[in-house]
Amino acid sequence: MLEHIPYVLSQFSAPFNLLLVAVGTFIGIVFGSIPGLSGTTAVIMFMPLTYAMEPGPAIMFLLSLWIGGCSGAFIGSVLLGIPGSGSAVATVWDGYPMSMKGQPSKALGIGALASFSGTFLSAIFGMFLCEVVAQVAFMLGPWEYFGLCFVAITMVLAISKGNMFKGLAAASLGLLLSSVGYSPIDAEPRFVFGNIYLMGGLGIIVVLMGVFAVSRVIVDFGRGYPPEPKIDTSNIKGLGLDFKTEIWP
Amino acid sequence: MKIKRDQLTGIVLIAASAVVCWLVSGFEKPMQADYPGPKLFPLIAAFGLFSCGAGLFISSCIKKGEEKPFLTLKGWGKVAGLFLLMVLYIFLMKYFGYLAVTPLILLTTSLMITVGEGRKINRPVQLVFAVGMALILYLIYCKGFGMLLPRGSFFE
Repeated sequence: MLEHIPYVLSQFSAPFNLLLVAVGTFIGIVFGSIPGLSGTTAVIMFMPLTYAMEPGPAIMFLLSLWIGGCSGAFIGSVLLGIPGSGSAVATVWDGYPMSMKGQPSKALGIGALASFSGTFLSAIFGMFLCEVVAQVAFMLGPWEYFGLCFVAITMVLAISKGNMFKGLAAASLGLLLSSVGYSPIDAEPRFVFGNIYLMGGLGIIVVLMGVFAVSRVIVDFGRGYPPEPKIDTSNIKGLGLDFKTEIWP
Repeated sequence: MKIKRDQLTGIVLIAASAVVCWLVSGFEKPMQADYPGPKLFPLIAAFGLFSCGAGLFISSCIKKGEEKPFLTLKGWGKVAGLFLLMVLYIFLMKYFGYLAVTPLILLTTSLMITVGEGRKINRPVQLVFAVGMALILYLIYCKGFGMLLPRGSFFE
């Protein structure tokens, strides 16, 4: 695997490829930040452009679209309380309240920093350890998958704030929604009601939009919009974070 | 006796679990000990809904004290109006198509959301937003993705 690294590094030395990465990342962030769109949508839309490209630049462009889309998903979570993708759901709980307190720049700064560190470090680990991870993944069987699901349900119970019954009911509802469509092994139609749009199941983005966006609209519209917070823009530098006091105290 | 919000949620969850069990009973593949088949996960979900519904109902009965209502009657009315507008949108789009109906519905929705909320909104900007957004979505779906949007049976 390591023999491919010189080729990859040579691709990064070409200015045109770097420009493609910058453009792709920008477009990806825009797509990721709009709830309902995602990095996947960006890749689908821009894939025809890559048909005429060399393989190296084309893959760099598509990767930057995808990573930009995944990273940009936290922007919707912070500013609107609506996650752009499944990975940005947890950001809603901390980032949106910060925005409502008038600290959106700080929340966006923390998100951008966390997104960059996570992507950068995982890319390096992935580059050197992907073979080992693949070998471990092949060792996973039905028992291990059951164990993973069991841990997931236990986590739901552990992190349910306030009422455990509500957390577990939400998990059960999620399990029910994931059952919609043809069953993967027997091709038995489940909760399809003859509708062709339900045959492939419910997409995670659709469910996220329903759960977060619709509930946000209902709450804000039904209760009346909260007063817009006063945002302190007088002392914003860089990412809105102070390295000495907030990142590495 | 005034019913509490959690009690109502519990009853709805129990009713939902009963509906799921009834729907699962219509699945053709039988459930066997060595191979549970496609009924297993929906039944686990139904069991979860039932047990959580019962738990919520009982815990709410035991718990004392007043609870804050989720929305006022006026708030529920506003939300119901918004949903009715969405239903109307689907109905109208079937007959008049996407391009004719979407700008009107977008404009109506933005007016519903802003009128009486004490917000200073420029009305011509709302009109431009409604028409522009409908056109942008049309271009993304029809030209970008190559998908067809409803043309409306009235124009066919």
